[in-house]
Amino acid sequence: MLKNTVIRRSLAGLFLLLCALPVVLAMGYAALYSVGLTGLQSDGFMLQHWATLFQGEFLSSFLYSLWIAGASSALALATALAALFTLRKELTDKRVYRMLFLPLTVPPVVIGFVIYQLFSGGGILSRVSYQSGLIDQISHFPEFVHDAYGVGIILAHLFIGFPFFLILLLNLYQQNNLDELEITAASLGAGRKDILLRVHLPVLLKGIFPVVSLYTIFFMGAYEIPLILGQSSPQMFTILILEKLQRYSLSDIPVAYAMALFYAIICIGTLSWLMMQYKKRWN
Amino acid sequence: MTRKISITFLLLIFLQPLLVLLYLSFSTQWHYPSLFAHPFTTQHWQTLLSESSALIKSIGISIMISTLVSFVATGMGFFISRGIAYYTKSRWWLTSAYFPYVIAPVVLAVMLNFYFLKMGLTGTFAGILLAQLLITIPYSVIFFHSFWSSTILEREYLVATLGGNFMTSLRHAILPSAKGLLVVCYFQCYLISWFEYGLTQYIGVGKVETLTILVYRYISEANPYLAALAGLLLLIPPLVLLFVNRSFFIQNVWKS
Amino acid sequence: MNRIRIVFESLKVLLIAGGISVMVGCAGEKSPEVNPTELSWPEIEQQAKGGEVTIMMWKGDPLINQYMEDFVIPTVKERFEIDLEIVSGQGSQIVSTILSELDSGQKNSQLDMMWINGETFYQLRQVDGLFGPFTSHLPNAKYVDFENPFIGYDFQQPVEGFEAPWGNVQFTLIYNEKMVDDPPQNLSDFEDWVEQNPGQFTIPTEFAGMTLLKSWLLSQNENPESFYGAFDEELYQAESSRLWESINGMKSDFWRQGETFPATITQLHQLFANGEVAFTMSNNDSEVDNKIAQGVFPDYSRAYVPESGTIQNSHYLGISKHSENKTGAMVVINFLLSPEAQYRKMIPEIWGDGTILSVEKLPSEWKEKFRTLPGRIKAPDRNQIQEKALMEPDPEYMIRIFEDFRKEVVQK
Repeated sequence: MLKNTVIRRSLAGLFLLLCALPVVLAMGYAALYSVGLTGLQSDGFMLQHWATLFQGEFLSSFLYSLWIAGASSALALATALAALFTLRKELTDKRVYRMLFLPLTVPPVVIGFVIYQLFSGGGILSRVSYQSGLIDQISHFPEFVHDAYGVGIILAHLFIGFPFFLILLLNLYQQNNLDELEITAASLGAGRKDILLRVHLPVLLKGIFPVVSLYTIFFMGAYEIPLILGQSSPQMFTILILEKLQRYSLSDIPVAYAMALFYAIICIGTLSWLMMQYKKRWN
Repeated sequence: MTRKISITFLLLIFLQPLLVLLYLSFSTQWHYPSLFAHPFTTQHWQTLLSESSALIKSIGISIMISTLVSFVATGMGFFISRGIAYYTKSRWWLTSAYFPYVIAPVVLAVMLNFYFLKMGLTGTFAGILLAQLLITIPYSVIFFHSFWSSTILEREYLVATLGGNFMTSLRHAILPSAKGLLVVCYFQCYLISWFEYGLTQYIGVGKVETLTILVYRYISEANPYLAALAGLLLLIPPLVLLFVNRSFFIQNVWKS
Repeated sequence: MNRIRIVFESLKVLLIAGGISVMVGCAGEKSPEVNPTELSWPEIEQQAKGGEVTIMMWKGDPLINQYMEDFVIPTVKERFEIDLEIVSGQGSQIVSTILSELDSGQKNSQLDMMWINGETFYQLRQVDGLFGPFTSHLPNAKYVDFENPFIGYDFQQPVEGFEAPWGNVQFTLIYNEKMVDDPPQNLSDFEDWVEQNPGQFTIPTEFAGMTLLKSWLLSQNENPESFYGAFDEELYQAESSRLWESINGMKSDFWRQGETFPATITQLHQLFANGEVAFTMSNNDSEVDNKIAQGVFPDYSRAYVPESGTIQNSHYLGISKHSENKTGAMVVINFLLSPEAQYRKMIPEIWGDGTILSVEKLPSEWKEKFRTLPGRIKAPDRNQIQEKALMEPDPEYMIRIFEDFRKEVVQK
């Protein structure tokens, strides 16, 4: 039908325009800049900037971001699962369930700020410790922010990730009728631990896998939170990109574009791979 | 008993940002190690009410941007996802909709900045609108994708068979079921836009001062009191939305 | 049914496309501006009336922000009908903003004027991002002390009218009297002190911290003058490796065992105010007075300039080459150079920033006022520290130190 094709074309065109084109344009420009083909300071084609990408501070920054992302997701998932199995009855209560949505109303900026005010050397917890005699000097308070392991950042991510995963797990539990499965399994003589491990866990993990992967990618691209809570070196990848763009050494700018492009490729690649895996299993 | 305690403990943790922000917004001269020994004051809240306040101005800007962005994004995403769901077969359409969203918005902003400069959109309200649309429209497309199932398609065919046109189809077949989703998507997009910092800061060159940018400004000026106040203001719309739409959220959140 | 769909969708596309083209149209439509230096001053003021001027400056100090917001903005609005808008950004951000505008061939800059000095000035000149020469056209320029080498030269580069001096300051260290008995007077004194008092000292990875490193770099050998003049690669290599050695030697006794460094001076000030560290620093020699007056620093803070000397420099205001409102920027800058604005800026409770005006050249009523300005309380006396003033070396040193501090100290 002619009309359908016209609609199809105009919608597809609109979609391309608004969703795909910006990404293509973005990566295109970044690619050109990073190999020296554009930009005020460019000297012509060179792959040097890309070479520097895999050494020194870039590599450590990338690994550090991976660590933060992985640890945040893993911890959020673990705590959500723990809460699911221990507190499920309470959580099905409408009022309690609703309270899980509270952290979702808090923006990353605010979470970063609050964690800083709570956990920094001069923060609320430190003052409480001092006044209750747990520490006698401000420098004795343990390092939670600007620290080597990114504890503050992980805590902030935990605040957002835990409730969200828990909500999803609860929904998955209901949708897959794990309640009934549990009763059936119990009547067949399975012990509580067995039920958890062999019946519930596989179903839940399979169901939540796509979202957890997505969130891991999000955590890797965190910007606002590490801006407040992160350390000098290594820094989160996104922060390093912005720094390189705005630092004094103008020759760092093409490297920043290379980093941005690299990051975009990784994210898109991972996402595409996940999509293919997910569809495979689903089918 | 321990369960009750655990639940209360969780509740406290979830409420803690709100409490900390309230505490700080009424404090001043918060020197170590004072917890309650320092003066408490309402002066920061009073500056909020003074007309030249940067806070009032940025609330206005944030509300305008978020309202416009979520309105357009929801509307466009709704129809675009219909096109994808009905007229395309490959799942790559939907996958590619994730791309702008999954690259951290600030990285996308960095790479697109050149084009914004060329169009003269940096540092402008319109530029921020466009930039935020670039990440909310894809989100909206993904959000509505599962709505356009065979059930809705069948209903549309039914309307067509009975002689109705698109508007009738909209009114009778589509909108009744879509209403709830449209509202939720609107709120989700609103939140994405409302919380946005990195992209807004980079493309806006700090000229379009939304509430989130103001929070950062106060933090870098070592003014935790005003930062806390601005943070509280940031929390209000999401909390209101949450309260008003509890049932929607409970049913529909996991679609995202 | 489908026809309406098409209309719907096309309307949407048209709306967005239309919107974009309108914005582009508005942005591109600029009447060619007459070179302001060809106009007389009254004409400049006339053209500037009713205009908007955007200044990009560091917004990390609430007192400075207050000076701008409570005094400068309302006054230029009232007297010259100019809307001054302040945008936050420091040094390298200014350069990258202007650079990306130039990269995209943008003919209209988002910024009209900016607060700059040293390496920022250097880089902006390199990419031809500044408008000028303009300072000689400012009426208040006749009061400026251009003969003073600390004012007429910015990091060893002649100003040449491309930036207008705004204030003059000397770097000082601020310490907590209760935690420090005998403030260290040179780098090796610091090495000893840090060793005996671990965890109480650190260096921020930004402008003030780099100025401290520069002061040490210059003073660690007997003739700092060898650093004046053009950048000397060999000299830098030799002296900086000595410097990094000393610092890396101290590093494990720094705050947080030197594993992380404050990213902003504000963070360092907070650590100092909380008593976490015993030292902070400032490019502004009267910072300690105004921070105590604000209630941010405790009463027992003191400032000093170590015997080995610290860097004195001026900070400036520049106009961007593609600014759409150069006349407005000139009027604002002229106002900021006026005895009235300079005097107010120098009051310790307001800002305490040194003036770049030559008191000798001022009309007598102002001469009196400047001479009887309220003095410093905890900050060192200006005349005394003048003797220990070092000149700013070539900007390349600053750029290299910035890079190398990260490479040789922070990342190790």
